[in-house]
Amino acid sequence: MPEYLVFFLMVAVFAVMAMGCKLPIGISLVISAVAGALLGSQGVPVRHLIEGSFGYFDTILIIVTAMIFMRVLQVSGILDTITSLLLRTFYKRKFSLLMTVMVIIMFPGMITGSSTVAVLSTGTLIAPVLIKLGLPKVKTAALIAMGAILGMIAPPVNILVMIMGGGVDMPYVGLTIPLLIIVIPLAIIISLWLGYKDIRIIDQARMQEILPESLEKKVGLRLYLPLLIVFVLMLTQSLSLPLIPDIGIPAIFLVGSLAGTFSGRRFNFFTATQEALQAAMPILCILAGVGMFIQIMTLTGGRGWIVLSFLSLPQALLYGGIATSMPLFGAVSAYGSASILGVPFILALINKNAIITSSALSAIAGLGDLMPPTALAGIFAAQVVGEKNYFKVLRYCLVPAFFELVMGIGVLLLSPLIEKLL
Amino acid sequence: MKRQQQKLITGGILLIFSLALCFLSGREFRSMLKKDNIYPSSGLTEVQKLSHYFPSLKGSPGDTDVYIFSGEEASGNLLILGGCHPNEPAGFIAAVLAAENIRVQKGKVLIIPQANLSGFTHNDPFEGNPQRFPISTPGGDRWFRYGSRLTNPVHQWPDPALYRNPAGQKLAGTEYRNLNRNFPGRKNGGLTEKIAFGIMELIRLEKIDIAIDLHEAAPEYPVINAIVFHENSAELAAIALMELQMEGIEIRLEESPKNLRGLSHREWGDLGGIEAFLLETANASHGRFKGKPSIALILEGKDNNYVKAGRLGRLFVPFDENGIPLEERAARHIAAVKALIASHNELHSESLILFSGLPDISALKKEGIGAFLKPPK
Amino acid sequence: MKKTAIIYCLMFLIPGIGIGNPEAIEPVFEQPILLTSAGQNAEVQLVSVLAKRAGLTFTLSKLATAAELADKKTLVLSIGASMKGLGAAGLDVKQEKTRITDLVKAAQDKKIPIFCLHLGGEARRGQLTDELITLLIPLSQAVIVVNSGNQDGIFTRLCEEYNIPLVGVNRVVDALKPIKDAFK
Repeated sequence: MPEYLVFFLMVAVFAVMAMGCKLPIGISLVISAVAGALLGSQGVPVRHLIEGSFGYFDTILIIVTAMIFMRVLQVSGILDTITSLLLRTFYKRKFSLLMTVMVIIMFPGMITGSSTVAVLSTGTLIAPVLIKLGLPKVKTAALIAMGAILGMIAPPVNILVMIMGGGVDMPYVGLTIPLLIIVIPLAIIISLWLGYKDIRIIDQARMQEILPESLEKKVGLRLYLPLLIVFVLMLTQSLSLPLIPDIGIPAIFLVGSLAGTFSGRRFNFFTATQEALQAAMPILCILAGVGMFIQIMTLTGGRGWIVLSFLSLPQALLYGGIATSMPLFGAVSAYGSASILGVPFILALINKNAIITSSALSAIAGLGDLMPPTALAGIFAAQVVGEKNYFKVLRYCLVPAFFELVMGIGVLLLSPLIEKLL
Repeated sequence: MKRQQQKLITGGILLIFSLALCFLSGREFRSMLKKDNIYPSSGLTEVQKLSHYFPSLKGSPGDTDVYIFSGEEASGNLLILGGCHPNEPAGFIAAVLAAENIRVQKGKVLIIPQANLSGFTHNDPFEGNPQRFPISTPGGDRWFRYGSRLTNPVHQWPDPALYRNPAGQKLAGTEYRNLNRNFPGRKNGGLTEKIAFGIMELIRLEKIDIAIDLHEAAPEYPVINAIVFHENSAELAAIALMELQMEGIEIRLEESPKNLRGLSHREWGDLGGIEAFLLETANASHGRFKGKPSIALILEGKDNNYVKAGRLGRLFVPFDENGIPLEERAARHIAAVKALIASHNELHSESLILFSGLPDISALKKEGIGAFLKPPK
Repeated sequence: MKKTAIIYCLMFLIPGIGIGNPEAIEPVFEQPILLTSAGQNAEVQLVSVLAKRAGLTFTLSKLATAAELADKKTLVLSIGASMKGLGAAGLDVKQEKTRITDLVKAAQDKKIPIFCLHLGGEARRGQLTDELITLLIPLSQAVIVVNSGNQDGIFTRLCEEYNIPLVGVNRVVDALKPIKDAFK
């Protein structure tokens, strides 16, 4: 059976299982992977299935620990206190609220290069403020998801560019300005587009009404310890300071969570972790399933077929190919898209400045984190605001994503002009 | 209560199912811990561990074998490094071929066939590669592991989000486990950095004059069928290229970029002060366009996707229906090693390195790799 | 090494043979030479070795500028774009093109003849290299090319059009004789 047929049948099995039989997405992916292996005459390759499911092991750990951290912030009362603080500061300043919110959401992404980390750390802090000031929760989720993706692209740490650079021997140097050229206008436009219409300016009395309980007076500055620990550890990790061990993002979140046990309201840490795990389970299952799906897709030749098909496009359609394939391939993850498609696309655009090309491609690949079933930024943003149906969030992400796509392609096309400015 | 019971039963069944999966897959994963057999030639002087040069590696999964072949007379010293990236089999197999055939007359040759030994113990997720491949010898098949570009995460974990390597370059976190981004290594660093440090120590203590790192690259990578040289060895590389062209081998020169740090050809030359080279051949089995990964793809190097990509002008190496088989790739490495040493000898009569026994490219292509490997024991 | 000695003997004995080798280069060039690459290719090292073997007086400067032409009588360019080389030199394609254009213009102003070589063969062709070829060949006084890099006849076409002597060789080593012959 030709490889493309196996791939299409895998997709068909997935669609039937997920939509027809209403099975969970993760389980549907596992079944389609097994079906693909059987159709591709590979039997049931247990090793490949498990190996694929471990492809996202680090991401899974980040998600689990970040969810625990998020839960700890909620139950210890820290979240309410921060919401209260932000509300008191910004309740009558719409523009500065939106700009500040955007920077806060982006920050963890800027220093870790991960959109998921941004959504699950500062995204969690920002969501209640925006909702209380009148932004519908789906739009709040869209704003958080887009901000997190912009944080992932923004300097100083852009892992997508590093991955692409690694494939073409381009050192990670001189990227700050090209990345800022892309990110700053998008951050302003997207935050205004999603938030300006709905956010209400309220008077003090109304603000007092919606203000959640603040523990700041009761507990004092100790309350902010978990956030401070996570912030400092992430920063030291991104600066690679000597003598400070690199414990990895999951451990950072765990340390922050443990600090939360004695920072605010008392709570049962064990129950909190159980609740967090329960909330994270569907997406963890999806990630393991996507891992199996990709491994089998590669094993049966589907991945090579897809990559080659996009690279076969004539030069005139190449930009169209980039604009569609990179976000779509993000269903694997934005990192996967950067590695598998980003590198050949940089080589296809070899006559352009590689620094500008990779910056623009990273903006386009970053959109992959909105692409279901993984949607590493989008799904968690939905979860943060308590929206079960991610597609409702995705609807509001479409226009901002289009802005980002236009920006990415625009920078690619105007690369010679931008080069002069640098 | 009944509902509770049902849940317990479902949970129990799932748990048993998971354990069965763990057992079945675990057996396959653990099979990668079985070492590859290498049977050095009769010219072997001694086998050392890398920890001999850097004791902190002792007993670690990175403590790889160093095969040492000394000539009758002390002179120049050569280091051949294979398996820096265990998913680049021609580099590994060329080093094995060298270890199993070489006889040194003058100077000393040190061969490390599996530089990142830990990388040989696992495969890259999402790549779907086979775990090992056979090479037929007259006495039966010999099996070799096809590993991962990176150190096994079981041996070095977790990756940082951002990796600043010992040479100061900022890289994606996974590169923390890429030996060829970890030079010159760190004494107290992660396992991969320690391996890199161990190799630097070997270079220093054994007074290596010239070192050659054997690699492969995907056919879509711009630096391919190439000799990458440190700028201190430009003339040597140029003479070697002419020698290779005389043998009908098309190869190109690439200078080691000064701003791309952490790579063998850069740090060995800068800090070790030696003549440093890296050789690349074209391996379809680790490219992005590859079709079905298989043992045949590793051995024969035939892939229709790459034929198409070649026609589309997306490749940096000629690629037709005949593919680029492992014999040819390993033979290119062997020929290039010989040419580099011949050039070294021409330029540096004070540190001659004379050896024999390495097969010719035509013989390797005609008789296959197996004809020059010892039968399995 | 005996083998190497034989290679060099052969290099002197075998004239620039090869497909499409219509003419030899008259000894029009003078020394000293400024040698640089157009595109930061490593083949400039091959030209350097060949020049050394030919006994020529030359200065190899990877990032040569117009100022370095001061006391030189010939500009030798090794054509071919290398991404790794450009990265190594901390340049991008555009900066390299500007450097070469300025250098060539200065040579023309000073009436210093330009001698172009493309020794990288088929592997060192491609869009970037082709742009350099189209830019530089019409301005040169003689060209040597390794034939596999001229399979599509781009050098033949340009040299015919601008009436420039072209020597095609099959291997890099074969370029020694025509290089030697080209200098007074």
